[in-house]
Amino acid sequence: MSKQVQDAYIVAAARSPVGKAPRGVFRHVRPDDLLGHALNAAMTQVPAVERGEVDDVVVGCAMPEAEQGMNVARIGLLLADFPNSVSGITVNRFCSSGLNAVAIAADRIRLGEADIMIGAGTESMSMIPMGGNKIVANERIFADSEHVGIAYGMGITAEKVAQQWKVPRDAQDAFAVESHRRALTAIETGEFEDEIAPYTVRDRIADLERREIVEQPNVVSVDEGPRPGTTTDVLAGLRPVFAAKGTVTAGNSSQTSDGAGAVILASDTAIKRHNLQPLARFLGFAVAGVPPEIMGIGPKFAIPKVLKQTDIKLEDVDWIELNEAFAAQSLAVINDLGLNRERVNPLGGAIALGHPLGATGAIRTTTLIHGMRRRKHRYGMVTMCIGTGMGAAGLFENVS
Amino acid sequence: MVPTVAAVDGMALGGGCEIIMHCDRAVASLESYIGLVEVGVGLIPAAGGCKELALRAAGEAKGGDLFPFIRRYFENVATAQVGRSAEHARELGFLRDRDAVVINRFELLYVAKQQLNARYESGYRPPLRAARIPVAGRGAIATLKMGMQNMLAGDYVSDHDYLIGSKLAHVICGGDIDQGSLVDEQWFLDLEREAFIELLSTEKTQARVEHMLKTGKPLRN
Repeated sequence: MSKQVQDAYIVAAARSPVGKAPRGVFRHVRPDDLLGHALNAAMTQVPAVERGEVDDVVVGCAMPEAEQGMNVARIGLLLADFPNSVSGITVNRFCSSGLNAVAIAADRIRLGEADIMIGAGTESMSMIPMGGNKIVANERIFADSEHVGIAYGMGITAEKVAQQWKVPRDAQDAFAVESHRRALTAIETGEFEDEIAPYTVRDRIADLERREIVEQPNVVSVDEGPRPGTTTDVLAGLRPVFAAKGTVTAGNSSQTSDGAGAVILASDTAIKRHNLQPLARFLGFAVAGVPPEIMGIGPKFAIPKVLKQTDIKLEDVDWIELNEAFAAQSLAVINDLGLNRERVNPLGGAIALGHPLGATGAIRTTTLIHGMRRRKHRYGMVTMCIGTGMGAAGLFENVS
Repeated sequence: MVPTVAAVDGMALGGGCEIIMHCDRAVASLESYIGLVEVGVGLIPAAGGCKELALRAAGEAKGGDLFPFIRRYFENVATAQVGRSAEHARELGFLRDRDAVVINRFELLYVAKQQLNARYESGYRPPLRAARIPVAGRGAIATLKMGMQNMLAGDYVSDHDYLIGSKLAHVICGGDIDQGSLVDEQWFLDLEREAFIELLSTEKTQARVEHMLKTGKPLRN
């Protein structure tokens, strides 16, 4: 059904480590700097490509304001020493922003209007909280019961999914434990080393004794979220945080995080011109809408939509990066679609690795691309649920 | 043209608190428990308490974003916060910077009289009624409701709590008008009265009032 004129290939993919928010390693690192770091790291993977040849940089960001406002894409790329001729756009579809950025970048190439594009994502949840610095609701949300779901925080939507899909607390906690276990194993065996570009944090503090500024460099090279000793016993002791008699806790929800990722895409022409090694072919991307109050079920509709669009069978998808916004919604999606648990988040998910909202899509695309290359998988998917009731899914084919 | 000074010792809840808020000065002994607790009986402050808090919020915002100040006062009243001491009541906004706190309660009346005399001798004139008060408006009402909807969905508050909270938000934000619209004090007083009557005509508020009169304890319904 695609009417593209050419294919878009991923030729580089890199990301920062993911820090915990709001008190983690990147609490003082600006999201535009994290973005620039990811862009530079991706560019170093394709030394033959001149920076000025990048047609456009599409950056996902879920709360694009304050430190990540003012078109963070353009500011981030300029500060990362891209020439003035390279343009940048910030896009926002909450948690799918990073994946959506990759899809938009791919589409510019598929349409034949660009040869080299970057799709990226950045988010500092330490600096800009969920919802942004100021929320002002439209009073029409409350005019009737139909739209009240727009008002619900993500935790409430997770509780509603847990209730409607009957996902018990112990299943959610067990899922979270497994996420940590997989993530820790992946870190131990160096699975993330291909994709992570270590970031040197330079915290500056006042030394009141010596009356001078002290700079403390700290090289961050691993994700901060995965926590050894996460057992079902420990998680069972946590209290629900969103509903008095609920099942969703801080332990079986994704972590708030800081991070950035970037993916470079190129056309056949550009690949031949620069003698690049393509890593994966971009196959397709789809978004589906669901009621806002059960936003977590979104992937259930986005996944079949992208499979139909690309004419690929679910059983042929070897690796699925399903963003673990909450264990409750992850399990509901996995169970309803009959996803193979072994193929979903083999290196752990957002419950352990963290979820820097608008960056997650680009970060997990990076994980998928390098992972499929190492394991010689053919098809891989990145999918997530989206606040206000949507799901997104992107499909990639390993060609490395 | 005489100043009014409230001398406060012990409990000043609901109407007592509203009287304090309207005096030119308050002098409170440290062991005073001041708060607007009307929601406990299913009502909202309707003797100028909401009006006074909205007025204070507008003053504190100094023409900037009113919402953070309004939200703080809204939360204090919606959760029936009572100051654990006179200084805590000041933190909550029920006492003002200019109000005095005495540690020794036996000095309370002495200090209050001193204040009264000083105010009188320095040529006291009552303030004019505020006539141009910017309101937080309908966007702020919706934003406060948004928070309450999540508490309702999470079973932390009842439907009636939500109704009371919505009425309080409506009043303290100045009603269903645009942010920054200018109103006078009477505008708030009218909103207070309207919301008070509406709540009092509900069965659940009547049950709360009755329960409080009979048992001295609040009823959650």
